[in-house]
Parts: sequence; structure tokens; C-alpha cells
Amino acid sequence: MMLRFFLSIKTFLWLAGLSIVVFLAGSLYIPQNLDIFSEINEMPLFGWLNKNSDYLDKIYWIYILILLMGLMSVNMLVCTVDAIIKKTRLRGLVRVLSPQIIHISILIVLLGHGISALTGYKEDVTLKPGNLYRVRGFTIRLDDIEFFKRPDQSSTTWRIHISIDDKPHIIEVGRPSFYKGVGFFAKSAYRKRKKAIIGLVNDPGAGWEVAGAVLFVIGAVGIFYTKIGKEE
Amino acid sequence: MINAPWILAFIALYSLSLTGDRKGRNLFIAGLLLHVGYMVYRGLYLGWVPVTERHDILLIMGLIVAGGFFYLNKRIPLNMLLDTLPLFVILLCFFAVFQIRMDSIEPYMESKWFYMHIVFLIIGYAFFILSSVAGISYLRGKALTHETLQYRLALFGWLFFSFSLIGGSFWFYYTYGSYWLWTAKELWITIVWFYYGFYLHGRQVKALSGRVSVVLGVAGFPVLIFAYLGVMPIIGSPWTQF
Repeated sequence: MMLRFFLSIKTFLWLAGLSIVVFLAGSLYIPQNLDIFSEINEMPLFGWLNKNSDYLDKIYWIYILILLMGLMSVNMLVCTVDAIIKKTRLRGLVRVLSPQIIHISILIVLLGHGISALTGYKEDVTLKPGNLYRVRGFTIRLDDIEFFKRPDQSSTTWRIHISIDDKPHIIEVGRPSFYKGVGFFAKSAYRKRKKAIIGLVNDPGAGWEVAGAVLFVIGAVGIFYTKIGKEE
Repeated sequence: MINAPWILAFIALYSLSLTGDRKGRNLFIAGLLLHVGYMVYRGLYLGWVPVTERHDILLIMGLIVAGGFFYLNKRIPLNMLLDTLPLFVILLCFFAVFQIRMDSIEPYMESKWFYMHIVFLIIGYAFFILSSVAGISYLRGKALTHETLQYRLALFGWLFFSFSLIGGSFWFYYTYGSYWLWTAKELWITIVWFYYGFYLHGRQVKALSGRVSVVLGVAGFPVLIFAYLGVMPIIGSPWTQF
């Protein structure tokens, strides 16, 4: 009975349809409750959910979404295994396997997302030149902030010089530095107040995300290969 | 200063092509050439591939949709195609006219992942729009090949759109340390992805096959346009950079 439920494409359609409705509700909740949601992107999801458990009436939709994603993952896994067992005996292995590779890649991405949401670490630190900050067993010091303009840009960008355990690192927008599994990101800098916001991120699910992305591309290439030029 | 008249000129040519005959085809191609010329001009003026702001993104999207004419023309009758396809191109160009031009690259755009994100987004959206054109042709003529064509184009669109999300995740991770954000904008991007996932799978279920499936596919157009242009001004999406 349970297996039949998860083997059905109708189950997927119901779950996907409900997810769309919940995403839509979430897109309305966030802008209307900025005071509650202001930190959601600055810490791992489950930590944020714990911290804001008093606002269940505003954040309940995230729990529904997690449940839907969980059910959809089981649905996708069961259907994928079933398709691989039943259809790999057929001719045209690439045609049969490519969509299943895509399903598996999505499962891996969701797994990575879950790992990061559960066990990840995120923190934004505001430092001025000379300030020290101790975190996760090492010390960061902000040495200097440079402001400059690239020839084709109208906006000023910044380069932040930091020392991590006395080893010099330079971080810029889009050019983070990594040390002992933690990423250091040059999020923002203020020329007048001479301070910088450095994002510290440990993302244990990132490897899974990358693996999922690579697998997705492989599956997609398989679909392009089997679909292009064979339409009529 | 020449931007708006130039765009209005090819919008006018696309509009005149709606007659649906051979003359219409020539007018459409003339509009397309003027459109290509404008994008080349924008590239030369900016000094880089013009994909860093909405004005250009919408116009390139329109250009790819317009270019799809040559592919669809072999599969959909000319009069049917010229009744529909130019309307989508006109709409995209029309939206583009009202976007404020920045003519600069912001620091956070300096990434190959950003370009991958944008280029695949444009291609994905263009394929979704072309699938709507095929869907409308099915609704008007009931040719089964048009329904298959709609599905195929939406499938390719969904794959390209997914590539765009992958590129966007890498770009955002390297820039801000996070590959996903809880913002109204990101939630709507996910809605588009789920919506087309729903359409692609729904076709296999009897209750959603045939005409219902085709209407679902065509209805994807307002969903994706709202996700791209409507979320920020109507719902609001603080913390969204782009």
C-alpha cells in the first residue's frame, strides 16, 4: 500500500503542486515579516528554526516544505529504483537512464542541502583594522581594507587583508579564502567607518551539492543526446 | 539616446509581421536584423557581452525567441506562427524599454559563474516561451506534433534553466557564501522550476494529458514573467541583489 503510494507519479504531482503553493505562501510571508526573517540567510536553517520557534504562525510553512521535500525524496527514490530495475532491460540504456540520473542528482542536492541546514556553520563578523576574532579554534585579524575601482565599473569594490592564525589572506567580492574547512567571504566594507563584514561559512553539504550538480549535467547531456534529432 | 527609437523600430516591424503572410515573414526578418544590430551596438557600446542588466537580458531573450522562428517555421504553418511568435517577442522588447539602464558591471558580477547563470537563464526562458508558441499552435490546430514539440521545447528549457540555477548557486556561493537564499525572488525561481517539472511529468497522467497539459505549458509564460519581472515590484524581495 505504502509502496504503491510512493511508486505513483500522481503522488509526485500532488507533492509538487503543494510545494508550489507553499513556496508561493512563503514568498508572501518573508517580505511581510522582515523582522523575523532578517537572519534566516545568515545561519543554518535548523538553527534559525529553533531560534524562532515562538513565531510558528509565521514560519510554519518552512516545516511543511521540509515535510514535502522529504516525501518527494522518498517518492523520487522509489520511482527511480523501480525504473532502473524494470527498464534497464530495455534497449536504449542512455534514454532510460538519463532521467533517472537527473532524479538521483536532485536527491543528492537535497541531501547536501539537508546536511548543511543541520550541521553547517554561518556567521557574519564585523571587524575594524586591528580587531581580532576567535572562532572555531583559530584567530582572525583584520589587517587592512583597500577600496578601488576597476576601469569598466562605476561602483567601488574592496579588497580585505586578513590574517588567520597569523597567515595572511586576501579576500575580495567573489574571491573568498578557505582555511580548515571554513570559507571567508568579503561581504561588505565601509570606507568612512573603516570596517568590513566578513562572512564565515562552513558548509558540510557543499561537496554533495557539487556532486549533484555534476550528475545533473551528465543526465541532462544524456537527455539532449537522445532527444535531439529524433523528434518525428 | 538612440536606444528607444531603435527598439521601437524593430517592435514596429515585428508588429507589422503579424499579418501572417509572406510579406509578414519578410517584415519579421527585417525586424530580427534590426534587433541583431541593436544587440551588436549594445555590446560595442558597453565593451562586454550585454547580459549584465535586465534591459539587455530581455532583448537577448526576445532575440532568441525571434530566432526560434526559423526552427518552428518548419513545423508550424507560417500564418499560425506569425500570429503568435511575434507577440511574445514584442512583449519582451516592450518590457526591456522600461528597464533602467546601468551600463556598468557591478563587482559581484565579475564571475564566470554569473555569466553561466545569466546565459542559461536567457536560453531556458527562451525555450519555455517557444514551447508556449507551440502549445498555442496545438490549441488552434490540434496537430499532435505541436503538442510533442511543446513538450520537447519545455524539456530543453527546463534543463537549461536548471543549468542556470547551478551556475547561479556557484556564483552566489563564491560571492556571498551561500548557494541558496530565502527570499521571495528565490522562492519564485523555485516555483518556475517546480511548475515546469509538474508540467513535464503531468503529461504522463491521463487527467492532465492532451489539452490540459498544453494549457498548463502555455500558462508557464505568465509564471516565468512574474518570477523575473513581477516579484520585486509587486511582492518585494529585500536582500535580493539581482
